[in-house]
Amino acid sequence: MAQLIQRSIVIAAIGLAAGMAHSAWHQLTSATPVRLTPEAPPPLVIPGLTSPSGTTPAGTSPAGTSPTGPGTTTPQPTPTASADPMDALNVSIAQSKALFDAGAPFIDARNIEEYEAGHVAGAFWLPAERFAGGTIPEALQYFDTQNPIVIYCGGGACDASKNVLILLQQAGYKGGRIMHDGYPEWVKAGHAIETGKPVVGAP
Amino acid sequence: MNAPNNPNAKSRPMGWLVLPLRLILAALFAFAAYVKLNDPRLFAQSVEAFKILPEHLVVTMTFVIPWTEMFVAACLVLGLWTRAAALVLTGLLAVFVVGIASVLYRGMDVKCGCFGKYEIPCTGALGACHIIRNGVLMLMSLLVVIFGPGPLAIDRPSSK
Repeated sequence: MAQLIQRSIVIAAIGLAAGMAHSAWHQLTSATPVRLTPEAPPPLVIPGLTSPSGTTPAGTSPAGTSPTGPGTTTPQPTPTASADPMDALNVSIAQSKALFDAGAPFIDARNIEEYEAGHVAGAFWLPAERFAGGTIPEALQYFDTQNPIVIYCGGGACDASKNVLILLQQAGYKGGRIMHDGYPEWVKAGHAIETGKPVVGAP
Repeated sequence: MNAPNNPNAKSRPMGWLVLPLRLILAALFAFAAYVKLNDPRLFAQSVEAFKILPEHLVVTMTFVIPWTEMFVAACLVLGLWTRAAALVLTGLLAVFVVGIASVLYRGMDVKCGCFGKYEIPCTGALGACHIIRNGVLMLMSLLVVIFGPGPLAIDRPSSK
């Protein structure tokens, strides 16, 4: 019995040592190391947004600016240094709608059943698994590397958007934003949705 | 030296139960380990989703778990330190079951990530199916712990 336990400990210790060594090597040398927090995004510019709307995370409101007419831009206020880095990435439903109207691509990070049951009109189905093994998903050809891309999942504590955002950033697409309130709130706000299978990158 | 085909094996019917168990478990966990190590980013997301470990430990576990699975699989195939490897596997599965139960208790929606993008046979978020599946696997590995290495093993039949 003692020998059984000893050998078990040795096997577990070998796994531990090998795992730690690989972890260190991978994180130091890989082009796509494991990241659990996203990079800071470029400042958000929403074309055609004529007034500050929705909940502005962290930062201060723009000082009295109210641009008129289409084609003008209202930069999102830069969050203060102490703000949660995720705040710079979150966009409200209203901001998401403005981005939608400006033609920004949307990504649905949920599973296929949820996507088919209903998704933001025109949204791409791109859960994290599509990036497995360093694959470049087909959908990426429709994105620009700097322009905003809105990613959403089920709202609440759903991490899927953040996970897809990190993978997108590692693939070179830096404009990802997270529609933090998720699909249910988009539906509640009465914005455009559709059902059915993905057009690009079917499962 | 030990003969790989122990002449006593034929008189130990349980030995012939253990051999397929060893091979099935080894194949399953070698595959699972390979998939996880092939793209650690996705498995890291699954580990993080449990919200049990702090971030630096999430990254460590992302690699430690599949490497342990790989070594256990190798030991099971070779029949080397077979019982001990099966015991480690049982322990690993027990940890997974506790993790899954914790997720379910907190009402969280978490994907397994056990086989990367392949969900076999339980699909979707973690639930009862995963606990049952892991329970079956634990039973299989416990049988190997109890009944020993079986035939075609480097270990002698009485070896621990």
